[in-house]
Order: sequence, then structure tokens, then C-alpha cells
Amino acid sequence: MRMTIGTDIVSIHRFNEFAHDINHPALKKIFTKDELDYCFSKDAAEPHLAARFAGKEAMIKALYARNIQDVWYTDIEILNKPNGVPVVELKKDMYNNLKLEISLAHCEDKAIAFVVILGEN
Amino acid sequence: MSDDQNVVIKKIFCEVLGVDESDVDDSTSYNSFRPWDSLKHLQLVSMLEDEFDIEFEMDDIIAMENFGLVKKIVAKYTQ
Repeated sequence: MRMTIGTDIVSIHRFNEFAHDINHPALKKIFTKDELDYCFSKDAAEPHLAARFAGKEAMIKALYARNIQDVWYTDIEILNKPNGVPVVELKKDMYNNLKLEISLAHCEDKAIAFVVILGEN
Repeated sequence: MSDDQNVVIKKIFCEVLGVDESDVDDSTSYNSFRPWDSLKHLQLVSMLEDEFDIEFEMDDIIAMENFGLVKKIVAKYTQ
């Protein structure tokens, strides 16, 4: 079993210009519909968008460490269980063998994510 | 690729990255130009798609490694 990791940090204010338009074209390049519905269901979407963006960047880094480079932002979906724990899913059947774990956090001005991938290859 | 199109691309590029046009030439590179990070890159891509009514393939989005390549790749879709 091989482990790769990825991490990323982003300033929440970077998402201020998107936070009032769920249909912004840039958001649709990055997030799935379910992710956008979740983020925009909150009082302020910015920290949730930023945390998910950091999560996707962290995921891409962890995938790159396995030489997987054909994954786009919208192939990665980060949602939350009812208890709030984030869950990451890779929407590409060919990578179903990978076990993915993610942790997200944010403070007043920054969001951070950490990803672990376990798999044979 | 037309000069008019390149003028529009440069205007969008500079608007998204918040830089002066004099700071940008064909060699301006994703890896070495600090204002050009991954989030700005995605904003740039979405604004170019919107402006020219095109949709880039993922490989082309990744291949936009410098400003010259951005212009060439947009031209590929608009020819």
C-alpha cells in the first residue's frame, strides 16, 4: 500500500468576487453543482468555497505524486456528511481503487486542506 | 490570429491578474509571474471562454503556460 499526500492554503478573500453569484463561470469551472449548492446554502459562501478549492488543489497534488494528471477540478467532489465531516470523491471510475481522506479547516482569512491517498499504485 | 483578438486577450489577461499591460509579454509565464496562480488561471480561462464563446479542453487549459501560448490556444478555437 502506497501513501501520497497533498496540502494547500488559500486566502478566503480571493472568493469575495464570486460569493454572490452561484452561476459565475469561474465557479462552474471549479465546483460541482452539489458543492455550489452546499456552499451557497451557508450565510457566507466564501470560506466554504475557499476550503473546497484548497481541498481540490491538495487532491491534485496528491494525485500528481502518483503521476495521475488527468483529473480536473470538477472530477473531484468534496461534500460533507450530516455530522459535518468532509468526504472527497474522485468521479473517475478508473481510480476507484484509491482510498481518499481529506481534512478542511478555515479561520478568519485563510482556508487549508490536507489530503491522503492510499492505493497499490 | 488577429491583432484585434490579441488586444482583447491581453486586456482580459491584465484585468484578471490585476497587472499593467506593460508588465506582460509572450514570455510571461505561469510558473514565474507571481499574480498568475491557479485560481487566477481558472478565472482567466472562464473569461476567455465567455468572451470568445468557446470551451477549452482540459489539456489546453493546462498547456497555457505562458501568455504567448494563451494567445495561440485561443486562436486554435476561434479560427
